[in-house]
Amino acid sequence: MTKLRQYPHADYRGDYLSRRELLKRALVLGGVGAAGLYLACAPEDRPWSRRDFTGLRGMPVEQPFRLPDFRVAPADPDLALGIGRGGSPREMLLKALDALGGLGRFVQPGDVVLLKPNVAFDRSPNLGATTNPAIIDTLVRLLLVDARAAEVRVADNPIESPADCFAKSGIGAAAEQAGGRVYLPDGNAFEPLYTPGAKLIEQWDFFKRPFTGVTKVIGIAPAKDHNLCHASLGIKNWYGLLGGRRNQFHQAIHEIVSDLSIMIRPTLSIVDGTRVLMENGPTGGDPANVRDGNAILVGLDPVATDAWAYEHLLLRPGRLPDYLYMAEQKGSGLVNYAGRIKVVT
Amino acid sequence: MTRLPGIFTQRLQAILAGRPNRWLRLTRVRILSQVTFFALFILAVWATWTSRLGGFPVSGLLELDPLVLVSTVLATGYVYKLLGWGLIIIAITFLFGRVFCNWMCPFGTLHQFVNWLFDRRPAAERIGLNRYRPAQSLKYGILILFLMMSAMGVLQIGLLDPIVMMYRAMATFVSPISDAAVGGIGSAAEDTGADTGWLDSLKFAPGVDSRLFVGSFWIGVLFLFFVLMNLWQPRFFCRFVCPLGALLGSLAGKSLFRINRIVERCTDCNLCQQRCEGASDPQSRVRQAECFGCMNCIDDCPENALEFTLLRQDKKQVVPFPDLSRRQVVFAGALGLLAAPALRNNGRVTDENFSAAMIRPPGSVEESEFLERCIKCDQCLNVCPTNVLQPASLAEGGFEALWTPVMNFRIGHCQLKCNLCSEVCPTGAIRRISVAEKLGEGAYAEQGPVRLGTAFFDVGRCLPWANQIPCVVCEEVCPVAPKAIQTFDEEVKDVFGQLVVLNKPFIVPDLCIGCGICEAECPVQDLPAVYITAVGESRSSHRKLLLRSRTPARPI
Amino acid sequence: MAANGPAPRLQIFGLRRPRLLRTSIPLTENISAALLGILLLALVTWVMTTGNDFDPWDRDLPIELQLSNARDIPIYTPPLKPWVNPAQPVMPGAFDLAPFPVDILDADWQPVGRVKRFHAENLFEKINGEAEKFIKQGFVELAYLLLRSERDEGEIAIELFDQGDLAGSLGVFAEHATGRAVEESGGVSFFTTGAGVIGRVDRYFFRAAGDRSSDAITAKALDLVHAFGTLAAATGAAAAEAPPGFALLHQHLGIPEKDIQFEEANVFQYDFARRFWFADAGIDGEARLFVHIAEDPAVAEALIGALLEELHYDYDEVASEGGVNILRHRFLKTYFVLTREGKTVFGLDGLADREAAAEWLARIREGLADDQA
Repeated sequence: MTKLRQYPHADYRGDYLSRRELLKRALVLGGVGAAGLYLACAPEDRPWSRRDFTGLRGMPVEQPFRLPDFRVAPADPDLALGIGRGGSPREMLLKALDALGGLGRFVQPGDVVLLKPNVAFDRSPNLGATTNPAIIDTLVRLLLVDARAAEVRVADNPIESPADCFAKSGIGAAAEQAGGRVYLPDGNAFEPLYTPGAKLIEQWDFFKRPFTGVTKVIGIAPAKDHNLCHASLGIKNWYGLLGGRRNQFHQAIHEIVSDLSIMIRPTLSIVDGTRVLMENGPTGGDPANVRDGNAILVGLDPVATDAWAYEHLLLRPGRLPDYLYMAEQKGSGLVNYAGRIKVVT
Repeated sequence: MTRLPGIFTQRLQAILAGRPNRWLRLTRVRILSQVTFFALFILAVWATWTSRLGGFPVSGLLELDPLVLVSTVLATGYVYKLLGWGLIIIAITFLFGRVFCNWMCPFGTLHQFVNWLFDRRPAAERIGLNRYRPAQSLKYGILILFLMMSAMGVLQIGLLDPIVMMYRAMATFVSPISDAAVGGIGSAAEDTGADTGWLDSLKFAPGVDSRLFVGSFWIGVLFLFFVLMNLWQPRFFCRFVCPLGALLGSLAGKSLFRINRIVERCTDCNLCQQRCEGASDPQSRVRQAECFGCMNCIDDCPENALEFTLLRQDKKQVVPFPDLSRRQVVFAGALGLLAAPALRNNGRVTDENFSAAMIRPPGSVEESEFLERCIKCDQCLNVCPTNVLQPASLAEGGFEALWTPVMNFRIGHCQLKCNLCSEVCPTGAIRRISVAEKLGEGAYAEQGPVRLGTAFFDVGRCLPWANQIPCVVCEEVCPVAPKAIQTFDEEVKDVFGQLVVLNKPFIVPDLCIGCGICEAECPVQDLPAVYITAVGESRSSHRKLLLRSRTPARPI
Repeated sequence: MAANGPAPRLQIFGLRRPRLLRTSIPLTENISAALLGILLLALVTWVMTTGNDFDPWDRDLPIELQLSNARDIPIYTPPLKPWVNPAQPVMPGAFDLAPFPVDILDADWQPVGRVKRFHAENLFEKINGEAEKFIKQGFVELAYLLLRSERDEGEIAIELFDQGDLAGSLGVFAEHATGRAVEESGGVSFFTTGAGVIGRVDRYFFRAAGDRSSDAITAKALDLVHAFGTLAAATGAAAAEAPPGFALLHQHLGIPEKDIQFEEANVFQYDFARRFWFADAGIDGEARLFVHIAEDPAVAEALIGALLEELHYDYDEVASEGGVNILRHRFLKTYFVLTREGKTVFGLDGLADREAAAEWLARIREGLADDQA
């Protein structure tokens, strides 16, 4: 007969898992497993499914936004352009605005107004490559005091360093001293914009941050020669609101500029003819190329404004730049300004 | 007289009555001083930006740095601009000893702060850690090595100088990360509709895309390595590595004021070592070359046996000079002698093998002079508004030129009328130039503009030349008048039957100043069809491209 | 100092309550601490005030230097190269023919290569030995073009010389036309050669030479003459530019252009005689009128004196009354009449009948008087 073994743990008493605990454990594990299975394998159209069979679901999707139409219906539908001549920039601007019926027609008290000057290069104002800071100063004060706008913002996305361009062109200081607020672009300020009907920039990164809450938009462009598209006037000025790889635009510059005319519908298009860059544009750099055009245009029709500026400020005879005809075809305005302008001297 | 708060009058009365005040202690003021100088340092880095620069003395701490003064004098023989301020710190060291390390140095403050924040070790262990180690003499060897190299014309102190390391790490490593974080917070907050304009003032570089600095990873690694070593040895960098500390320690031997132990009162409890920053053995013969003047030992002595005094100094209780053996000195010196020609061997400094990518900022002096002056503080990188300046990698100039500023025109361009880098350079590697000198106007018309290099076209990649696609961005953005890019205009029927006008660009090297905006704007982004190389730079007479300019109005 | 808080492994920070162990704090320490605190405050204040202490123009180009920036660096921009379809034949208008008139081309005759132009410096490359002849007569430019017949009828090389003015072209033509039957048509004076035509119109002189002698070539040559007629019209008021000597002979005396010649230098074989107009006035035999306009009366007088001196070697003086000198050749027995009115030197050469001189002199005087009127 075999001797009984000595079990050292003979008097051991364990702490046993109860059936309830086992069930709870099974339910939890099962639940977690089932949830994981659902998330991973449920068809893609089911709610909360994380399945991505083709790999395309994981791709980021851009959510473009759309710009509202900032135009205000004028009193006289045939009046497209007011021109002020003679005097200081301030006086000419006031004359041009009066020709259209005064700023109050377009800007109501409480409006948030965005001004878009041309601050593209770090040039001092006398070189004609950027907007005249005196006009910015006058306009900001008019908007804040006379038209009682709630806020005036000044924004641009320059080609060179933004802080330097705003400083050297004098526009940063002019805007802030008059009570406006300058918006500088940085990496987080851009979002894709959707422009229906545009041929080449249907969706493009746009300087969105200054536009939140804006009700009126005014563009203030200098009149410049441009060696590629022959003129940089009011419509081309909106190029400064785009981001991304803008340097591709030169491959089809006229199509792009005519797209710009439908990308944004401003309240007013102002063309600054106080320092006209006649040659060597758009960068300029030589004061000898600048002449005093003695005019400031305030336009409701951006195409007509540019057409008049091309003929009377840049003094070019003959055919207008292609982009104006293309913009007319896209419905942005009419090239023929005869009978639609009012000059106040 | 208005009613002052009660506690204030109490203290005032106590002082006037001759009873001492526990609040107005030197250690308190020391903390205030550390915080003040650190804040001023952060202000300096923050203000080194185009819209904030104003008249702030942003290079102040670098100009105060005596190691920069001594090494540049050894290398160049002259004292540039404000580097004479280094004598102020030397004077302070002659007066009070090595107090700079614990009262002013922002790197020292950072080390002490990290240590204070994270050190969980009990007092007994800390007393052991704060003992003097013979390895602390390593920093003197490092100092001698660097000074010998400087005397040979190879300035490398910027690799380990604490102030320089702080500036460099802040500019290239910390500020882009911080700006990205602030920007991310801002854009997330914008989605909720809040007004985040004020966040711009928290950014180091507001109003531009997030900056990047190629190679900043290694700058950060070096920086963080020293900071994190504090968790192993308190004040590791300051005790074992810092060449500036070594310099000040060598000069502190016979300072007028010092820590003095009143032996009669001392019970040898060693409690003074539990917070000793310099590991200077205040419990025995205090080592003047290591003592930071932190005053912690004075606060920790229960017997009031320690004091910081002018008179009553016991000459038997001090070790004035560093504990350095002759062998260490000779080895370090010999290594320094050898290092200079060894580093120069690769020909990147002389003109036989200079790198085409070694495009220096405007106002830079000739390369061999440049390397005698550049301390790699990277202030120029910090102030550059277009982010074109980058720390050089080993490819451009070898080890000698590591982290010195070079231009990378894929990232940005040199703005025509900007001279900020020359304004902030403390040592004159980028000589201060006015915009008139940069453009060659007025009094400088005879010498012509500063040229950084020359642009060249790769006509196999240029859209009009190679592909019949109209493009002429480069000519449009060329900032000089008349433009250095001119075109051959030709009307062709392209491969799809479209009649297009091609403006085929070419460079006029007599007019080109190498600003790089053509390369930056070229749509063939990855390998631009127009690119700048260093040949033709005006700072070097041997690296010229053209013999003479064809238009006398714009001399070469 | 035991850590108060969680166990060491769970702690993140090592913060401890600071414990001050010393018991005595001397007054000097309080005072120094306070002073240092004030010093720090002063430093911070000073740093903050330096912020505005700068001149923005240090970081930009001063206005007065911007104005001097308007330096003249002239840039030559070559004109737009227009697209030319390589497959099509060149029609007039698509091919730059200047200065040739467009009419020289037609469906049969097309250009080979482009118009080649030559100036005084490189004229010898084209016409080698003859270059001197043209340059002496005021040569400006030569335009050369080769035409080829589409119907394999040969090639014509056309040379169009711009001689600068009427005088030059007349002179050159005169040298070529000696002994030739000169015709005139539509302002063009010309004569035909075996395989082409040589002529002049206005200030131009032209030569067209075919590579063979054929009717087609001759016909084309005459076409060219008609085409060149347009040059006369094109250059406009030729009459207004006519040199005074020519005008006198052509307009006042009514002598047709083809009978008028011009000698630039070495007139009468004398080197001091230059720029004489000769006219074949239809007087007997070889008699010719000549006219020379000098700079002023004194020079004219000197010229007459010089001429008379030289002429005495071959001529005998017959009469000299009222300023009119009549000389007679010793051997040929022809008369040479020379006189002056104001700055105009004029007369006749090779005259057989001396009486006829008076009439012509009178007519010339009339013409000069008309001029001054």
